Amino acid sequence: MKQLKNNFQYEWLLLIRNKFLAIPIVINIIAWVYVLYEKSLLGSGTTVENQFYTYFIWILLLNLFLIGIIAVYIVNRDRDSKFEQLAMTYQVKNWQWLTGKWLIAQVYGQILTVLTVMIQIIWFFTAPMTAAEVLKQSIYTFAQMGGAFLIIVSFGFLCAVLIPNIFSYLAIPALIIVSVFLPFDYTGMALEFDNPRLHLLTPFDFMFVGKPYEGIWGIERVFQSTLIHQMAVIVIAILVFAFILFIFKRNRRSKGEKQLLLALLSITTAMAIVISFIRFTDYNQGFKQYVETGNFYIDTLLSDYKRGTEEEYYEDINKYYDEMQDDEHYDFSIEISDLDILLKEDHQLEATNQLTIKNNGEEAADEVLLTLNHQLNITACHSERELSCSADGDFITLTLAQPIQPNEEFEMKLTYGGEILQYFDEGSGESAFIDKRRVFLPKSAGWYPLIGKRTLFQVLEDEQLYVKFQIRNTRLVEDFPTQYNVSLQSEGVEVPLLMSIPKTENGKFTGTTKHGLELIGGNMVEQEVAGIRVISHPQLQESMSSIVNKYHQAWAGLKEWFDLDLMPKTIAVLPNNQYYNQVQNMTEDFYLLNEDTVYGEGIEEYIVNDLYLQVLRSGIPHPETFSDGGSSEEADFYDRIIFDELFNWSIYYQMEKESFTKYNTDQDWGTKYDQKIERIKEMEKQGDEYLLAFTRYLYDASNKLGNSKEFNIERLADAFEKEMKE
Amino acid sequence: MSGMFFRCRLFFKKWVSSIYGIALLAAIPIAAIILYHDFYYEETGKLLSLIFEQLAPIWLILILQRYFSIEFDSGFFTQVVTYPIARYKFLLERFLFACMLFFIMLGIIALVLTSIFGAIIWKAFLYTLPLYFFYSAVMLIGLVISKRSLGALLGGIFLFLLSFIGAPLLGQALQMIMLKYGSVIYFLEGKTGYAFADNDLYYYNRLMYMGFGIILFILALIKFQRKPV
Amino acid sequence: MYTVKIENVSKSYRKFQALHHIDLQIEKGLYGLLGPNGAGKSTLMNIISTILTWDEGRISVYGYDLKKDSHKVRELLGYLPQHFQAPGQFTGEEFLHYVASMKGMNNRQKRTIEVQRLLEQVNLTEHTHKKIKGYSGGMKRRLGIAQALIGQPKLIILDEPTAGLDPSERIRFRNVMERLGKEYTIILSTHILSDIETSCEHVGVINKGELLYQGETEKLASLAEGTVWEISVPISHYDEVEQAYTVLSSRREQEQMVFHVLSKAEPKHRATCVKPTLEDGYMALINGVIT
Repeated sequence: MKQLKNNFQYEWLLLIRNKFLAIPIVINIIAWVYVLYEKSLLGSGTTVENQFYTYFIWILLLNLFLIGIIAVYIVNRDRDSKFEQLAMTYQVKNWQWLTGKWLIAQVYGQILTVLTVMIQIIWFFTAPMTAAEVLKQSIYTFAQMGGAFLIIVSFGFLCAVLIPNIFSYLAIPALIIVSVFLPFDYTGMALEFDNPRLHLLTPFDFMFVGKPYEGIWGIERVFQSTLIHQMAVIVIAILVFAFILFIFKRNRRSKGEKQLLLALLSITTAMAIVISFIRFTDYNQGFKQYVETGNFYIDTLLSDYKRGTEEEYYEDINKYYDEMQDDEHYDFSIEISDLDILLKEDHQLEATNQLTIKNNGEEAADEVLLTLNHQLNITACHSERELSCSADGDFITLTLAQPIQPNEEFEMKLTYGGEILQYFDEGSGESAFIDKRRVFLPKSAGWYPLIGKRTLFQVLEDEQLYVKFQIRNTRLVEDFPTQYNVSLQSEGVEVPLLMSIPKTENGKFTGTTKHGLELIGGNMVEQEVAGIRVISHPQLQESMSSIVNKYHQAWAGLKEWFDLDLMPKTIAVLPNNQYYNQVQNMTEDFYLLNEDTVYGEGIEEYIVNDLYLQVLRSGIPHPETFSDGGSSEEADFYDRIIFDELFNWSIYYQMEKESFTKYNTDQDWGTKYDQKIERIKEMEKQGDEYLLAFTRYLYDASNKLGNSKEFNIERLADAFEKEMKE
Repeated sequence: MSGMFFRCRLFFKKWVSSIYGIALLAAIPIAAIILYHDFYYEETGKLLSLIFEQLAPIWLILILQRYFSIEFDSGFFTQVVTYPIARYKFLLERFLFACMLFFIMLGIIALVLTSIFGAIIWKAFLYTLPLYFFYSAVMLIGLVISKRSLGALLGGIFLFLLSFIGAPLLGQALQMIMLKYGSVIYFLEGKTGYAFADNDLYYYNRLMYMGFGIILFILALIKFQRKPV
Repeated sequence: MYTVKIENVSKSYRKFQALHHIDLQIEKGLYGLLGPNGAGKSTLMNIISTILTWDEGRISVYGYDLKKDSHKVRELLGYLPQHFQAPGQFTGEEFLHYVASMKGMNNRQKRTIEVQRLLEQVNLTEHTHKKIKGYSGGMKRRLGIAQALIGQPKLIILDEPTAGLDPSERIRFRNVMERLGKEYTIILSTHILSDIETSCEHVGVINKGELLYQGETEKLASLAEGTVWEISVPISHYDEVEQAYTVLSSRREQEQMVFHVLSKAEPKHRATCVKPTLEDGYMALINGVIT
């Protein structure tokens, strides 16, 4: 031991006297200074966690490379100078010689870890966070970075011992690219050759899309599995090092050393297998469920789909989801839904639902359909009316003994429960969950009965993906509003819970909506901005207030100028990864915003795009779906583009009061466009309001004419000016 | 001049008479063939980017490293600088030898690809040149600071990794891997008719790398010229 | 009593046979190992100093089997390689401490005494706190000798120890060796025959991986008895003599050239047989004039 201490001390001397080894520390400091600078560019409109974790991953990767190279260097240094050969004639034991070096490389790596964690702690304390929360996050960072360095040092040593030349340095980037590149490029769709299970083979836990931090849910989802992953990493790092000791200068190894190493090797191997297996199953069950879900809903796929170029692909995907919108009319409605629900951690829920169902049609019927996710089991189904319940997949068929007449109502009671955990993106994210510190039950999870036969998930066959399909949540809108009275209880859930309908008292929510229920629990606060209820992360409260004010201006303008009433009652800010839920759930009741994109400069442009998308759903033709110089039946491409520009400007104008010419400055669509836009600029001279009125005129015309060649801006402008003069 | 020609020939002969040298030369064409045959590309740009911006830099790094290693790792360069040849010329010469080999090989690949993809290959090649220059300059800096080919190698690899995993750090304007974007290919093809607000960016991006490359290159030469070894 | 016994040792690198059935017995005292470049001396020394393994044969050091008990041998060993390199960032003192710690001297006080003693012995006391990268070639060499002597090794192997030393340092080194030679076994490889002539009682000669001679130093010289001739010829015959014989030395005396040449038979020029030196004996052996 004393010998090891000596070796370590002298390696330390060598380390601190080598000026090149200051480079990584300098690079780290530069990187963090840059990040802090970049952060100020982003504006303070986001959480510190979001800022930190956005940059953490690449700083970690950069450091992995540097530390790996240093590990190789520390071994190669004495070998290249032949000093190692001389030292091998001393009594020093193999393990003492290498362990001294290994430890010094580890210490060097952990200095960078500590530096990072310290930066994180100081940074996080500038935000209103509890010490416990900061501690948890720093443990996460420490485990990720510390473990990653531990294993890269071991692999660096292995490369240096196995490859006795300069190419051992090349092995490090090769290793990093091989292990990390697939998950790094991973944006939530693992391609054919990319088995998502292999993403587990990384020096740090990389089982997330983009970043581990999920807004109001923090790092809760990944925290535990990361610790297991890093435990496995640490054990494997020791295992690899034991292996190096085992193969290093075998002729110098004493019998005792050999036996000790064999023992260490077997212990670490056993431990590595057990812990890795735990981590593997942890992920694999999610992945398996994702595949099962895909197979379960496979009926909804379009089997004749062929993937073309990237452009065609996205066009098709968009068309697909537009076509697959579940807007099918159903005559029945749930008039009143009294829902008593008990949430338990581990994703369990128990519910009793008292429903008042009405026949809004003109014919009597003896069968009523309901939709409830098949993950949940119905335990009781009662009614004062005589009826039988049968469940098949997601659908519940109520067969009534006496047909239900038009405008007649009946009551029934449903008791159900089960596990509601759902995954997206090959199991690297969760789309419905109930956990201690995070809850999310979107409507599309089918966690309470919906009227009619609804498609909860859409599956699109995709040969290029590893799982051969894509799953999306659907957009569900009922034909008739329902009055919901929800009584919410929870066991083991420690965070506040909110719903898309207003809270009346503790644990009680009441509201009437045709957009259904969403339930969210996490690190969040509620505030009211311009009459809109806003749910967000506490740190986003301030910035959300100014952003929602802008949204409010835009929505108000849409109502004033276009009679489009799209203003929601509630806005919730969710992390980026819940993208599909968000796109499908922009309703007039409950509006989801994406945490990543709602901060910083250019928020007005973002709002314009967002609202434009919302308006598109009202059915006006959109130029991106047809091509330049399309068929003669279609409207002129540039006419549609100009209308688009005008419409976007009219939304923008509500917030910024900027003239169209100024708004339009950067557009460069060629001469044909320029000629056409002259006419608009001519009209602008009559005032902004005049142009807004013209835009409204075009909007009406577009709704009426669709994408036909009748939609001709010049002709419409003539007509409009004539009308105005009259 | 004839002396330079002789040295060039000698180095080349040494290169092709080692297994590693031949393997290195063969590696990229083989990789290109595999990439072309085994993967499906929606766009030409993706393949071009893989070959020119992602694989060729590795090649450049290894070729340069090997050329530098001959005189630097053996310590012979301390002897060479006592010969009647300007230090910077010596460095420049080795650099030129490596570049010749690299460009001849890459040119062959481009020639083969031209028959498949057309002239866009050469435009892509030209577009990537500033990047190669920047890589070389960084490697030269690494070489003259460490006086070993290892310094050059590490400088090159660091840059290579930065082009992948440091992409968020570099931001939009400084991306090294550009060809994979369809709009860059459009830009190279000289297409108009759509909104090309970013065209200037694509242009300045490479101008920037060329500029940085020249500065670093000159710095390296000056340092090597001045510094007593 | 032999301290190092080498029996029938062979070693080859791929196709190249570096050592060919070497049998060598070494006693306490200074032992000189001679041979031209590439003869296999360094290979043999690397083998004895546990760096290399060998293909066949048996080696024992102070009774320990070198293959089985190499860790025991290392406790007895002090080695100076031909190209000695030390980490430049250390000072001389730090480096010796470092080496001492790796040679199992973990008591700091004892180590300090030992390090001071050696620094004095190799005359580096003045440069104790200077970093090694600032040392001259000779200073580095002396530091190398010091590291070999740390821990009072019983078997000291020195590969070209005096290369790069100035004459006064060489004499100093020779004295140290002679003193140590009274108690320990020292194997010395060098091209400087005068070092061996004055210090080593025994010597071994290796060429092309084969042992050509082992025994007393004086006897090596006498082996060449009757094969060293002095020839005196006019200067114009210079080339002729050089082509006909292996020339050991030549000097000019007025219009005559006086050569010492090797030859089994009496040269056809006017020649007198002279008493051979160690160098003559070595040359005769290497050139195959005697076997």
